[in-house]
Amino acid sequence: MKNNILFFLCLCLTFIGTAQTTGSILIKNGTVITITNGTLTETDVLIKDGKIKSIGKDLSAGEDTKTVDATGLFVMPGIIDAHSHLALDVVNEASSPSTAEVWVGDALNPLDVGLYRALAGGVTVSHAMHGSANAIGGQCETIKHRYGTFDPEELRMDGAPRTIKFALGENPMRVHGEGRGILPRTRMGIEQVFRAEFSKGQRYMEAWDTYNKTKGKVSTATAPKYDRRLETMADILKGDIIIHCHSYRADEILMLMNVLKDFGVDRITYQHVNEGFKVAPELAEFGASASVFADWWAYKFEVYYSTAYNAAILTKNGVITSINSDSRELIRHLYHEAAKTQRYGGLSDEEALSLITINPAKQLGIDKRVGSIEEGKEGDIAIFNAHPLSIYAIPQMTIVDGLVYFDINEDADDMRVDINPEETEPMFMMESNSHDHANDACMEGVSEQLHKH
Amino acid sequence: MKKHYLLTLFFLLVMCIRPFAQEALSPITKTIAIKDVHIVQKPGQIIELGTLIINNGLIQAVGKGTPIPANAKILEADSMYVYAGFIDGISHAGISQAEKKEENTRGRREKDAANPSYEKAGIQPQLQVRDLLNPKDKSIVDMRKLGYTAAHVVPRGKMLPGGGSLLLLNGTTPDDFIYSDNTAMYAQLQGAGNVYPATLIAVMSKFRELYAQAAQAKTNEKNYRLNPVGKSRPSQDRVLQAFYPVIDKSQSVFFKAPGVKDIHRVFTLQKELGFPLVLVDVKQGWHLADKIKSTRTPVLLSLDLPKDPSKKGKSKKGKEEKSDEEKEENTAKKEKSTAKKKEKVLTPFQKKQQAALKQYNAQAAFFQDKNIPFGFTSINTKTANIRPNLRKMITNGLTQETALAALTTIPAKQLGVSKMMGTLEKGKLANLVISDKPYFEEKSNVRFVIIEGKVFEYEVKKKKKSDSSEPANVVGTWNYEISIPGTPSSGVLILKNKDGNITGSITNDMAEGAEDIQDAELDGNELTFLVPIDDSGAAKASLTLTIDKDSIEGSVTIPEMGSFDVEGERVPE
Repeated sequence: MKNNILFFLCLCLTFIGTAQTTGSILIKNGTVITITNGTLTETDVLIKDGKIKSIGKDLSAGEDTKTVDATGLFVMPGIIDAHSHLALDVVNEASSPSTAEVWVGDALNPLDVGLYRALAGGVTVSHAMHGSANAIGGQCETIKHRYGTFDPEELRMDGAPRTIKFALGENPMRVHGEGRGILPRTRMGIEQVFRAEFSKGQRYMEAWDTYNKTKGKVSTATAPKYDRRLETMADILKGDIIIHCHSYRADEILMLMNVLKDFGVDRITYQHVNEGFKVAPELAEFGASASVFADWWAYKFEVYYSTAYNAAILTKNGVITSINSDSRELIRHLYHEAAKTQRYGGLSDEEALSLITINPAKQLGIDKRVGSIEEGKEGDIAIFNAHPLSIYAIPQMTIVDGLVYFDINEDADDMRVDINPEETEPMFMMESNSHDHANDACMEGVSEQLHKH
Repeated sequence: MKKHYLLTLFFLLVMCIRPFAQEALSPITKTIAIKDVHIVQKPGQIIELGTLIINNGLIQAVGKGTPIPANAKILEADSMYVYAGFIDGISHAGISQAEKKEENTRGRREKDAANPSYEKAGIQPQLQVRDLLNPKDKSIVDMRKLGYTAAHVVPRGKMLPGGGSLLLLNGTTPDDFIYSDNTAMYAQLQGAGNVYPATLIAVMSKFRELYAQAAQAKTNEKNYRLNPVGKSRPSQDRVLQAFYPVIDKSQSVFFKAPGVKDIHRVFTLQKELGFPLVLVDVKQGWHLADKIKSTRTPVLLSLDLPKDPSKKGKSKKGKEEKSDEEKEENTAKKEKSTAKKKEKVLTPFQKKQQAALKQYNAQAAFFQDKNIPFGFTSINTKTANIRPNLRKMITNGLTQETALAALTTIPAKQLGVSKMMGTLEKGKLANLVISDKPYFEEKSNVRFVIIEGKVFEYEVKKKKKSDSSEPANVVGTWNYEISIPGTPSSGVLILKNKDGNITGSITNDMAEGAEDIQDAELDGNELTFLVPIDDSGAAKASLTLTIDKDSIEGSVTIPEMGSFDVEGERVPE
């Protein structure tokens, strides 16, 4: 008997371990929630080599194509989380008010079992973000949940636009002002960090432009000293990087929009943005997006003025809005989080589900590839036993690039891929829920860096 | 006031340690003959009952029936096994652990965390082993005792601890040790903790930035030397200058990458920047074996292996000198008897864990079977574990030939010194290790280590462990001696036994008064106890003594000083 279990585990591992590329699968006869093109009943979805090839009735595929009977089941695009810290070995480089040059993509941890748990909640793509310790934090990475690989590179969603974390308010003030007695000590100081760094970035760009013009023509031309932090600021100024800014208060949200206007930057998604409902028209006018919690607040002073109607108000004002998790636990039921906007704000099914599919895709610049079930898009699918906005919905199967990464019928107790041979007890329950201030996921690793000597 | 005599003793010791007396005298002859021995000339090539002649620090002749010069000193090594001296691929031998500075920084935060000095940031690639080497560091003696004659030493530190030097493990001054300098740039993915680069992500970025800045500085330097007129003086940043040979590809970056993720990350940097790479301290290399093979990346596997959690023995204080294997064996023996009665049922987790453990233990064999050459590194491995771990790897499929190659020919090749080290051939350095049985056999003992003709001889300590588990009679008064090089000391140990509780006191001739022993435990004939050595009582020397009727033998471990042999006899009543 025990041998069977071991054999089964090995099978699971082998299967996942080789599932690094793309696959083909035919999902038959489900209720297909396309997000962008209504809901189609008794419809098949054929994914061929990782891409959605066709959507329709009575589709057939080759005999060797895996077929899933989705009769009575609900088929939706894989859920996208625009704010997560999953699969990261490092979240914060808290040593400087600006660390624009660092990139969490360098610290991807494909072995994080949290990825599997997210898959078990139907989530196929997440935005692995730097933390909020610094006014200008590090660059983030959009990942596909290809759990089972040991290669960090396999998690990357190749071609997804670069993104960077900015942060307003108490976190950078606490770390640098209170913690080290340096700028930014106040909200005003945070604005100055942005302005100073953008200015330096402009001058850096100019210096390189000058050098590139004189290079070869003037014998004394010397290149400016290479600086990765300013390179990154220059890339933001050029529009190559989307800003994702940790924010709560309306005044700060407006402040940052003014800074960006001054420097000609227009790609920004505000994260958390609990007071977004106060400045929804201004956000819409600027073209800024918002990624919010459904109903989480009051975990620190600047987050008291909040409402569960935030997502609905923003949506109704024309702001592209998403609901995110920022948590290893919430990410497992983002469909519930989206459903809350129907209770608080009366959003339609399509609007509510857009908050966790096509809208976050837009915020990450990947909406041409994922976020809805359309022919030609990538084969990221979540299958539920009931409508995903129903309280009775349970994810049944999650597919990334046409490959099954979660199947409720083959859900072994221990799905970790990397086993520590010295561990005495399996640590299933050691991870804390980050839903309190002390364990703020955005502040992961900061206190160690502040206090360590 | 209590007299903490041992404290005084240790201060005295620190001041008194002198070079070994034997090193002060020059030998009568510089010709040594080793005859009737099994000469393992190189992995897989053995001369049975051959002769090896050493002259002036070099191997003069190897073969069968080689004539022995009249002036040769003959080494008493008949029928023993001779190997080329081992080379540690990357090592911290001779680099003392940084002292923990007792700065009163608690609660104070690093104000210049964003712009720390290179030193605080752990970015010091310009550091040279020659300037950091402590010739008296115990690690040199310990490694030599295992058969290591050379070590590729790098400084300890964080992101860029310094450059590498190939050392011969014998000498009085740092310069004596140096075989060659500038052998490597040593790098780790380790952040500085509380200043930039504090974490992995900043280390990755900083490495790229320094590399690009160094390339710039190098070009500027070159252009300036061609024609300086009208140009600003180029940077003379020594950190950037340390990158020049790497950029030229005349020096490799020896990058520490134990885990699978580390290896991937290091490969990422290497792919972007194109520097010559050697992977160091690899523990989970099987995941990337194909990539290592196809890129022909030289690799140094870790000699460290995970402990088997199912065999975790009772860890007792004062037993640091025991290897993990011995501890595991003790538990295994106990388990064997119970195992027969009842088959042990493993949980699915334990099964996965055992499978994982097997992968770690079989890493070297895996590389061997994939025909990927590899050497070994001792960094982060307890010295006492090195030989047992080699045996464990052999049990898991590594052949003795490959193991020997990983300790000799491969590191010699990686370091470009194959002409002078790694095999026993005429004209090469006389670096040898001689064991009484084949080296990788459990019962074999290293009897001689020869470094550039200098002979180190090792006595075989007979294990006097009695088979019976009956506790030995410890009660009585014992005279003991501690063999500290240059400063032997002695004293009296008085032991009492009250219903199995061992108590007692100890004196030493270098201090006044007696000290009570603490936490004494008697297991069979093995006695362990602690002796406080400072006023606070926090620092303690730990002693492990084996009792055989009227004699004791064992060792004392003194914090921040090392281990020393202890011998003694019962004072007749």
